[in-house]
Amino acid sequence: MRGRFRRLLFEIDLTSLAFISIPLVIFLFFLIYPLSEMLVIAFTKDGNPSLSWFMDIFTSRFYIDPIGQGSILEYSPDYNLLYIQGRDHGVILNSLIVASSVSGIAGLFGLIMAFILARYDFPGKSLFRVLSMTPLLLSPFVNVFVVKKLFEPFGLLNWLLHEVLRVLPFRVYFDGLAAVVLVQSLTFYPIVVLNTYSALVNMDPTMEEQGENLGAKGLVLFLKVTLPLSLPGLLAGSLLVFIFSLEDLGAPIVFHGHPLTRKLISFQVYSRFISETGVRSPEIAALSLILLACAIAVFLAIKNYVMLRPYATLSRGGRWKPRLRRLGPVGLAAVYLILPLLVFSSLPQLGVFALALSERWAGLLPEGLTTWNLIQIFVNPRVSRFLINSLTYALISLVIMISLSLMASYTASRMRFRGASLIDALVTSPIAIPGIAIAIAYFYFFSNHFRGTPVDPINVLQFNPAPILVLGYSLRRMPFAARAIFAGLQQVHVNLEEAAMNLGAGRLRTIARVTAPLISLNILSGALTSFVYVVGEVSLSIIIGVLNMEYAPMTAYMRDVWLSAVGSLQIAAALGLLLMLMQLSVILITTIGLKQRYAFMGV
Amino acid sequence: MVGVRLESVTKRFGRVVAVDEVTLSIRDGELFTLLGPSGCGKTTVLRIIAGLELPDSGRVYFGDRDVTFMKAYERRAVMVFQNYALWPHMKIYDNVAFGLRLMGLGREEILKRVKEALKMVRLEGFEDRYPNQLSGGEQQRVALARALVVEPEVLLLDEPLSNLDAKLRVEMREELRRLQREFKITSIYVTHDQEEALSISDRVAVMNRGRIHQVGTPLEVYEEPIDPFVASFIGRASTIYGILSGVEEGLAVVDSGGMRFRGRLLEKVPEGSRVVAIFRPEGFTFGLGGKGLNIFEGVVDTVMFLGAHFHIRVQVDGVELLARVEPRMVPEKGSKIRLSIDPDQVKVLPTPNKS
Repeated sequence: MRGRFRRLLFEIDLTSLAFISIPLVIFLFFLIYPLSEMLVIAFTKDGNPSLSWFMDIFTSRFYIDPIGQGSILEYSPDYNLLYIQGRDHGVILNSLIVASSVSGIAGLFGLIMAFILARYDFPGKSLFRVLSMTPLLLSPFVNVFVVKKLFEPFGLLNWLLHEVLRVLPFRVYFDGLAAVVLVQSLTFYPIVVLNTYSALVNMDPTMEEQGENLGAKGLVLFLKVTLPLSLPGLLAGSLLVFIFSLEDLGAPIVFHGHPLTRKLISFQVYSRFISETGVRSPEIAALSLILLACAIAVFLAIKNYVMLRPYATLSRGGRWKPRLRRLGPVGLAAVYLILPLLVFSSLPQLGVFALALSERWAGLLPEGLTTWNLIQIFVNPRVSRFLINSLTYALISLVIMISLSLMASYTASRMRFRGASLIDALVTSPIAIPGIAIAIAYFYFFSNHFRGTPVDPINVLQFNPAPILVLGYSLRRMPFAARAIFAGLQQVHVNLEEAAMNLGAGRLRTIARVTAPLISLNILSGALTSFVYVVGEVSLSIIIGVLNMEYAPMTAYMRDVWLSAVGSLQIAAALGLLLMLMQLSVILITTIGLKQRYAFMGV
Repeated sequence: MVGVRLESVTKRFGRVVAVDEVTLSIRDGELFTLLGPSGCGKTTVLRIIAGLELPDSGRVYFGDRDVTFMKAYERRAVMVFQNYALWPHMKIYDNVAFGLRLMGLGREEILKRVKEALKMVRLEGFEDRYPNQLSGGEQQRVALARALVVEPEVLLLDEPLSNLDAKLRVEMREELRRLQREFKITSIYVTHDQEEALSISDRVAVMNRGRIHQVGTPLEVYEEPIDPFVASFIGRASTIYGILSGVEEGLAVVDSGGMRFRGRLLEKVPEGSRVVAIFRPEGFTFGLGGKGLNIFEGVVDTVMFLGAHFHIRVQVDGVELLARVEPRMVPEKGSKIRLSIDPDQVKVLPTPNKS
């Protein structure tokens, strides 16, 4: 017994104890506990354990309708219009169908793009690369609005394809679930490109060369060697797309004019939540829980699948020159045919840019060049207040996030005891947890345990959402910071730290003098990236943040344009533009200034 | 400066026993080498002494102090790592001064001692450079200065020369030996290079699969290997298995295949038991001569040029012997040859139990 205690003392010191326990306690208390409590609420009726909330949901055709209603598309000869909207299978199935379609489309298109970028060289490749990443620039709500405008029956694309080029014999109108699938596919496919691309580039070229050597080429080589080896990246990317689609509120809110768009889990939770006041119905908890369960189930399934494949980690050390080939004329023609598609997927971002600098968008394009909107976000206190709130929250979150990530990543990569990797799993878990679920869980958590205080969301008159937002932002965006720091730690040879301990430096001093300086670039790039993602955060901001508009962040203002019809569309676009510019500068600083890889979502 | 003692130290990593009941006693001020093939556990022993690993069982003593449960930063055992582990973000001066600052010395004192240390490793004037501006040999010397400057009780060297090219390696090991003698510091050196081990050590411990096979001076382990592993790992040797058929005039008579030879029995074993005999290549003489004992005839199978001399493989009655030949006497491949060896040069040992 005494021996075991001494062994423990040898492995553990005050610093490592703090590094293990602080993130653990915070995550248990502010993530696991609130989510568990929401679970309890969803399974309780009138103070007794009950399945009734779930029974209500699962037996209602509003939520689950396997047969389905309506038709995917309808042609209206009167207007010469093809109306694409999707079938209604009830809220839960609709969400799953949309998320699966989006991850399928994004997966296919992302794989093609990643393969072209990773294996071929052709004139204009850098333009290709830039265009394929553009949709990752955040501009919540406004980018969706731009897509909506572009696809209107009398919008730019129909005008171009139907009236000018006459490629389409009729006008096409996307609405309902189809519109959501369209917007989300356009927005999220680069996540697949990134993950698949890095899998392809990091693949040992001798794998494919050996295949060719043995007589496989072309499609056979691709299907037998390349695709299976890049599958972990492809699946990881598609998985993230699935989860992002599931929890997305932007597309449903902008398209909520169509009844089918309102029949998605995310929108249901949201609209029910904001239409009620005081203590919310446990049915909202039950719905959030279903959303959470779907996300986690898919996450675990794919994670297990990827981990079951031992070849996923089969690689030799060091760097190698990836296989790059020049394209022949046929290949070149095929690649340049994809180019318009890429331009097309970058249109939302270009549209936000144009909208932010325009006076109105009534016809085909935004009109009337002006900088008034941009100036407004800085000089008009009714707008700048939101911007200042967002930046303040982001800065505070950053400090929390970086400290916790450092502790958790250090524990995961340096400490040798069972469960060290559990802490890493814990801080990266928010990637699989829909923000809506966290927001709803926080609502119950803070109203139950902090009743009557300024952080009680039911205490409407005095409610200050800032502490909850900062906490939620920190945890939700932790995976980005933690990944960046973990990657840095992996590159620092343990001997460098051991050498310091050997010379008499304790753990804290070793970390401060040796480890932290060596990973400072990773910390900085992780911090910058997280900062942008905090400012662009939607779910918590528009569920908790809007409960007191005085303290609401800027994404709440952007939402209001569509849901409450207050504020200005152009000013929302200006905020979106500002966010994109921030993100662009972060990308430039991290990749050119710090020579780091910019950690886009999920990488 | 203190001696270091390990008492039945065992360390497992999962199911692998990296260090298996190792007991060692390293004398105050000596240069002691742990020699063995890669993966034999020698580095783990070093890390246990440094306090970077905790043994599963057993005890470590510095002098009379039990340091088993002391953390790395509480012991005064400083390691020089294989990859030097110089901090890339610190100048050479700061690298060397690191340990001194932790000791709370004054600025003047630190300056003086860093200068001295850099002078000692012949790197005066390198203070303001960064490690990546230095060559491998220079980095190695900085690592050494950083360790020596704090005047540790024990100096631990983990394959410190393995990343240097062959010529530099020989220079550096002489340098190392000079510094160690000068400081009379208890040093434990880990290497897989037997030439390195034999040339600089006061004593050598030969390790394999987590166990110590033999401890002795370089000459002892070379001349009187305790078992076939030590014999084959240190220097080249033909190991020939056979049956001890008798003892005549104090010499063992061994039968192996159709071959009979005599040798020196290093350990008493009953007649008729299985033994192993060790022949060093340089023990053979060619043509007539010898004492009329251990004269073999065979066919040259392979001729290998090794630079200063040749090695040949000779098939003798189904047994293969490795012999060293001077360049002017090299036989043709396939030719018949007669060779002999003094029975005193043949070491006969009991066959170790297969374990």
